[in-house]
Amino acid sequence: MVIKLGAIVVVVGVIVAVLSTIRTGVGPDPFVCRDPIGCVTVLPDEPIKFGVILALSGGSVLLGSEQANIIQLILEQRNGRFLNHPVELVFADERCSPEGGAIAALRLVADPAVIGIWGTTCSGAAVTAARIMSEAGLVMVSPSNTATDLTLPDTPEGARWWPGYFRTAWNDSELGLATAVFAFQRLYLRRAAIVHAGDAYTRGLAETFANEFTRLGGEISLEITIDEEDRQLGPVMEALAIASAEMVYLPLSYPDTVARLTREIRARPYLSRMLILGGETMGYKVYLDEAGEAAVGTYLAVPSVDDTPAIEQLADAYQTRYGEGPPSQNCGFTHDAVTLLLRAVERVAVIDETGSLHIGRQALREALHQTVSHPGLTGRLSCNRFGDCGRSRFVFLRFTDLSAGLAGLYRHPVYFWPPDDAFNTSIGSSE
Amino acid sequence: MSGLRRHLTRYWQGLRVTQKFSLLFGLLTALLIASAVTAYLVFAFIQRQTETMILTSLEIQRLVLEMDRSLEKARRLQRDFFLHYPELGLAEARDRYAEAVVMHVAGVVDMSSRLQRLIGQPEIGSAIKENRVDLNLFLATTTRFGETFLQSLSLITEAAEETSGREAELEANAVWLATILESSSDPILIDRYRQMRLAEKEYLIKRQRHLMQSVLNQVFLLSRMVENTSSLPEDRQLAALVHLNNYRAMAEQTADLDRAIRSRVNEFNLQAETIDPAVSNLIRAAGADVLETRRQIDQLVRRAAVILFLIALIGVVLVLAVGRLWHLSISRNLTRLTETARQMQYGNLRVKAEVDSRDEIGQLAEAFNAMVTEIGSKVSELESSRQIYRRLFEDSHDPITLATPDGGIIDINQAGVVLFGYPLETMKQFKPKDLYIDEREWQAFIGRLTEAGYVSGFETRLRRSDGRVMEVVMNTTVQKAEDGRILFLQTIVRDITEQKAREAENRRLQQQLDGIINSMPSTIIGIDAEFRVTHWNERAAENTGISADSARGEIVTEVCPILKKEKHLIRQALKDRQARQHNKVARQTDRQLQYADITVYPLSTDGHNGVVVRIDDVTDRVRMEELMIQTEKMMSVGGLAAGMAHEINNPLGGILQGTQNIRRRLSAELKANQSAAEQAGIDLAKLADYLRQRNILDYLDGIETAGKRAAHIITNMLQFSRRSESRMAPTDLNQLLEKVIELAGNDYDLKKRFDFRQIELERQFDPSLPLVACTQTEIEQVILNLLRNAAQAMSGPDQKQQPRIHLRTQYENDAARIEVEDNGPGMTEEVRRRAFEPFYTTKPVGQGTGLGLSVSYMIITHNHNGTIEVQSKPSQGARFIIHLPVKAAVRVAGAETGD
Repeated sequence: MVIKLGAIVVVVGVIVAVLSTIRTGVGPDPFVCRDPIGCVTVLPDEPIKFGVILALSGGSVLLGSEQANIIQLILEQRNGRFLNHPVELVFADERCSPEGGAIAALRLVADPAVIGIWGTTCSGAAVTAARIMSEAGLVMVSPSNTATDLTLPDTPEGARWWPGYFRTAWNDSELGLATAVFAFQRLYLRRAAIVHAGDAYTRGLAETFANEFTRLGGEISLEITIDEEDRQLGPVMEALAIASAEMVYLPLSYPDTVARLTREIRARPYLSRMLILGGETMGYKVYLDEAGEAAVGTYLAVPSVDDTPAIEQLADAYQTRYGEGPPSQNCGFTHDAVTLLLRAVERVAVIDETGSLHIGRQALREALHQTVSHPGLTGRLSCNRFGDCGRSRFVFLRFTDLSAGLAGLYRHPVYFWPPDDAFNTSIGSSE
Repeated sequence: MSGLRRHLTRYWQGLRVTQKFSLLFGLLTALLIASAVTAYLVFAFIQRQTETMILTSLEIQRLVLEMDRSLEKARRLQRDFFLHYPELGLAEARDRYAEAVVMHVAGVVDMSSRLQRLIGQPEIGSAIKENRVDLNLFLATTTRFGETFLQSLSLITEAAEETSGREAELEANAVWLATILESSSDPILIDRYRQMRLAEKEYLIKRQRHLMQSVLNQVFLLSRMVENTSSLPEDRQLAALVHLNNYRAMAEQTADLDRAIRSRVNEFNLQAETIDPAVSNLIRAAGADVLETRRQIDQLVRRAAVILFLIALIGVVLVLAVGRLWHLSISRNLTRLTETARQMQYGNLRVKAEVDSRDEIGQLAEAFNAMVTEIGSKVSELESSRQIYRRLFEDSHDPITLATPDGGIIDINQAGVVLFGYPLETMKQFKPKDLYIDEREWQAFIGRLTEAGYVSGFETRLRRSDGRVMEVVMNTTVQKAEDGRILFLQTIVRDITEQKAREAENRRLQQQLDGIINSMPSTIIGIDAEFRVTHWNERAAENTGISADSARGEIVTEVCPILKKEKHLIRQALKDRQARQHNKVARQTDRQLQYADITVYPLSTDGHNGVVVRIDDVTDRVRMEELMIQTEKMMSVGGLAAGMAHEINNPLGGILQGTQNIRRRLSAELKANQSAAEQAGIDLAKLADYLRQRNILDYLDGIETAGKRAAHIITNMLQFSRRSESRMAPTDLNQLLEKVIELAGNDYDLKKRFDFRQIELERQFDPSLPLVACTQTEIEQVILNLLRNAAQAMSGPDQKQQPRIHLRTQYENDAARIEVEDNGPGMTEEVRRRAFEPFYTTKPVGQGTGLGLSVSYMIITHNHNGTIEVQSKPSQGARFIIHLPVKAAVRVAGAETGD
């Protein structure tokens, strides 16, 4: 009897062992993350999350809103899905300030499901946001940050570069230089004043301009910092009068501030001959509306992009979707930022047997760094080791006929940078 | 399922009553223990789970609230710091507020980390887990709050520190500036200075950027005025400009610091906006988790109650099942058995107990049933068995006897009566001596029977009634009583007289066949289809050194290597059933080449195919054929050479004679020559000088030498056709060989090319060698020729070892055997075969005539009726073997010595 009971126990044991083997044997091999800074796993039917840090309030809200609209528009054109997952966008307002950028970044990195970030709008916000998102292992692709030191770690200000940061916009080191050359060599100006806001973007542009202008033989008779939300401009006008400059360079973030300054300068007879030269913020309709007649004769530098049907299609789609055209000429940069990140995610995403998606964070950074000749609307993009993916091509314009609006402005380019770029570039119109 | 049930039923029925008792009560006991253990485990589990869940939830809730309180306190302290540091002073404000802020922030961060760890535990409710993002945000924002606060503290210190802060330096420069400007007594300068200070104070109150720009504008204008004033001495003017410059720098830095501090303040507000909803969410989630925990505890308790109820229910069902099993297995069968026994008591032997179990009760029932059946069947079985046995006994074709242990016949069947020819009753009177030819065989039979208890295959001779003796084989068994006493011997007798006769005849035929095969000079091997040896005659054993017993059953090529290359012959013979033959198969043994003819005959025996291989040693025949061919060739060549020699000899004689005549007729000493010279007017002395100068005499010497050499060759050639005219005499070959060795040592021709003394000579002379009739000079010539050849062969560069010549004599087969063996380079088979051909030589041109061995051959074979052969292989030296017949020698010697 003992032998028979033993045999039964053995048989039961074998059955249990076989069942255990079958149970463990049929399951798929679990994905093992070997990325040095971790992976994001998106389970089947879960949304794939991207963060968006843009200036959704404050003086740069026009640009920020345009960028938000374009991001949503591109994803809607993909039916809101990416890699067979619904896409969820997590928005955070950077308020075009370092503190706003910091808080926005903190909001996004708190969610471990966020794969990457589009933003920021303002370079000042990027200074804090880039550090926070970088330390959290994320990537961030900005369509409009242009501050020099965000992607130039070998400069004295280079401490502001953080791994994982990329941008499709140009680098202001080139724009400041181009503006100085334009002022000195094409406008024959020798004495300049600079008004900036003291943040990363405006100070960077001002310094680059000043360095090159001085190197060419010019003189910077005044460099002052203003608060862009400060409406008391009397002391500034007074300083400009004292400076006796031939021109004033206004590398500021808010179009309405530049418009206010333009009006104030033009309102003072002793400053009436002072030439006004600004950046892309003067290319907004807001500037034109607020500056009015005072805008006539002012110069501005804007990015130069290839006039392609794709950009027109994007502008048309924007018009259709939001009832009005994009307020700036920079929608191509946002488009390129979106497609650049999506393409990189596609390249590194691993789909396991359960249908779950795995994205290595370091792999994603490397994929972005390895971007070569990405077909963007602003041209073919290639990213360098510090995250600069955009091209530095600019055109200088002059307001002459307000009745033609922004379209009229773009019909009369006065100078191209680089100088030989004039032959293959034309200026688009968004109005 | 039904199969399992059947199996379990059989298993249960096979158990004994005690085993069933043990199993049933064991099952009940196990059930009770399992119920108790399960109840204990369930309650223990619930207790542990509930405790953990409640404690964890409460801890989470406590941490969240504590974090919120601490952070709120830190923020309040931070606000107080900003509010009070201008009036308290930076150091006092830092001590009172800033350190507390940092401490509270550190506490919040620590609690956040603990909270994250707690949330990672599996028993935690889902609400707080779903708010993990809020918790992360809370933790990150708190950390950021601490960092921002420290940054603002640093900025404020840089701006407002009492002695070295920017504002203090601004004030210090302004005071210095005031002192200098007041010394100028220039009211315009002092007025501009006051405007600058007024603007500065306004800025410090309002902290608006455009106000600082007004200050900077005033600084610029004042600087210009100081540069252009004449109311200040130059050194004071310069000092004023330096202070103005410092003042401007401090003013700009103060504005920048204010801007940075304002940015941090803005961030504090943003942090508050961010963190407050997150904290609310966390507090709400923690509360929700406590509620969820309570709900789960209630659920656990309900499940535990259900489990305990189910355990109790299963226990009741199992108890009922055990009781039912008890009734079916034991009590019901006992009732049936009792009823069956009662019926048997009343004489009903056909009744059977119906118990379907194999336990003790079942076995008891079976025993009951078996008893009745057994009694009825025993009688009929016995009768049936007796009849069968009698029929077997009587119908057997073999005689069967039943006898007492002392040999008295008890019974014998019909076949026995026929075999012995005695009536049954007569045979019952017989004792062993009446049947056995030799009574000792009866004793041997009894001996084997006593020893083994039976006898099998016992052969003996018995007597028939007609007096004939017959060979029989007996198989006997013993039938014993229960006490071991022998009842009778049962013997089966078989007449094997004819069988014995046939076996004897077969043995005789086999021996005769073996004798025939073994007496054959050939090697005869029988092989089956698997190439295994079945027959192996004595010649085969002699040639291979393997006995017939060892060879039988082995693969034939393993025991007879010569057949390794002839397997195809065997295969073909097996396949075609036709004889196959391969003649003159060569085989090297030691230093001798042997030849054999191999013939394979197909053989069928009892349906089994095989072959018989016959191997005939034809070495002697082949040698003889070679010898005959060689001799014939030599004789032909000899005749030809002799004819040619005669023809050449005459003109050669003329040449030699003519040469001598020329030499004589050139001599100045002969008068005939002198007179002929005088008549011709020739001076013989001058002629001699002329002949010497023109080497004509040397040419004559050359002609003469060549002629003599040709004559020597001719002489040798004549040896082929001319039987020696020398006389044969009985000769001691050993002495002759010694003499030849001495001659060789002094031989000039030999010496001039090779020092014969450097050759080791080894002699192995047979002292019993009889005298041999031979022409001594000719045999000496032959031996000397062989020694020369050997010495010359060993003088070449290929000689790697000490040159050595073995000289041997031996008496064998009525012949004297002389061997001359060297350890030189040997010869190829081609050279060996042609060695005795005339004019065949391996020496360089001019060094040999190629006639030495040919002449030796003629001397031995033609002049002495002997044989000469050579054995050699490359690098293994050469051995010349000469056989000179002794009988002929004796006969010749006899003839010469007297007859």
